[in-house]
Amino acid sequence: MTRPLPGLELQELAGPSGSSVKVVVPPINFAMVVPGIYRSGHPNKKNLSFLKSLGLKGIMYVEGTEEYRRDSLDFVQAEGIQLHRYDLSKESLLFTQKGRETIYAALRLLLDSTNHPILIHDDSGKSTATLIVSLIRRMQGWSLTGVYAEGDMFSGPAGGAEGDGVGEAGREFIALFEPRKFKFNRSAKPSWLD
Amino acid sequence: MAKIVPPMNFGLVEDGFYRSAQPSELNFSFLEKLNLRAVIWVGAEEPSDILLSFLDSQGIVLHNLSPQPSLNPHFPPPASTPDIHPFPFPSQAQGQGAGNLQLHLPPLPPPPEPLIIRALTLLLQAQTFPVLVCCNMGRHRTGTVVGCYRKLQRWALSSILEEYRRYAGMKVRVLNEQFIELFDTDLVSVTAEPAS
Repeated sequence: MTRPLPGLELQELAGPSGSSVKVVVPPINFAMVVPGIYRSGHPNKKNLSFLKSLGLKGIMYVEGTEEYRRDSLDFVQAEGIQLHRYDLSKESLLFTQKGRETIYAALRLLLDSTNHPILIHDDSGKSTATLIVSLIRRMQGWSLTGVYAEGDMFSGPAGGAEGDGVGEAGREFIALFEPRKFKFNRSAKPSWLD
Repeated sequence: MAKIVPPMNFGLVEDGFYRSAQPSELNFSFLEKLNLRAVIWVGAEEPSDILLSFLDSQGIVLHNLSPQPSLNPHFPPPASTPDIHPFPFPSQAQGQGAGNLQLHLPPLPPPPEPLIIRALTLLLQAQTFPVLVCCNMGRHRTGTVVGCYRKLQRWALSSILEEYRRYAGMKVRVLNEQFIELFDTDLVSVTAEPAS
């Protein structure tokens, strides 16, 4: 085979199903955003072997400022993963100078391919992760309806109608974001950006 | 910047493995950026002519896995197929309007197992990628294929169903979830089809 099958280990397949093979448990609301960037809710102990298989260079936690959970902290330290903290969860701060700077700094880090593979996560995988992923989608030139539709998929069967997901301020921020004016280091630009 | 429009229910399963609803003309410039080598169509009906001509013009291989006429009452065969008759429902027999016909339909069966096996067999060949798996809405049939692929990856069932439901939204089909749960991964293997 010239290239590996995406996400599949051949020896895993060869083994007998069920019995001895270990099941892997991705974190809640886990998904690949683009090659090199993943998103999810807060990982727990059960997810660590799965996360290990991703070979992460970094984890970006975008919610809150309190201490990182013990088991996750032990994991990033043991694996030599860089932990990046940006609190983007307070939408009321988005339209302040400081809020804007914080989210732009986070985005710049994500658009630098030397930081990949990286996992973005908040607590539920429903709202703040969607906010920052939506800006990546805008950078890729996605239509706004496509960006919102993707975000809604992560906020439960009601698609955000139950109050989960990105709020009004967040949506407005996504809509007003101007990808062409956004400055970042183009020398380490990932392949999925023009 | 020209905007690109992802197809409905678009998502990345893995690097070079995408899923979506049936792409329309609006989505073609988006699809061009994916550099697809193949599209696996698992919908219950034939893909649209415009999609076919797009794939043709791009040199993308189409694996059309659902050409068989359906006896499924949800997808009655076209009137031009005289020898196949949809199952007559009492409401039809009594001459009631077709508007509320949906209410009397039994739950839609999961996609046929041979279709899933054929899709997975393609997905176990490196030369298939980059690939887009799609059906009409990108929810159920596509979701079942992806769910079974996750099973090959040894994902926990709860995680597989979480992903299935993310795309199915309010329209979760328990029979499809059951299909994924009971699907025997030994039915497909990497060695089954040598790479040619």
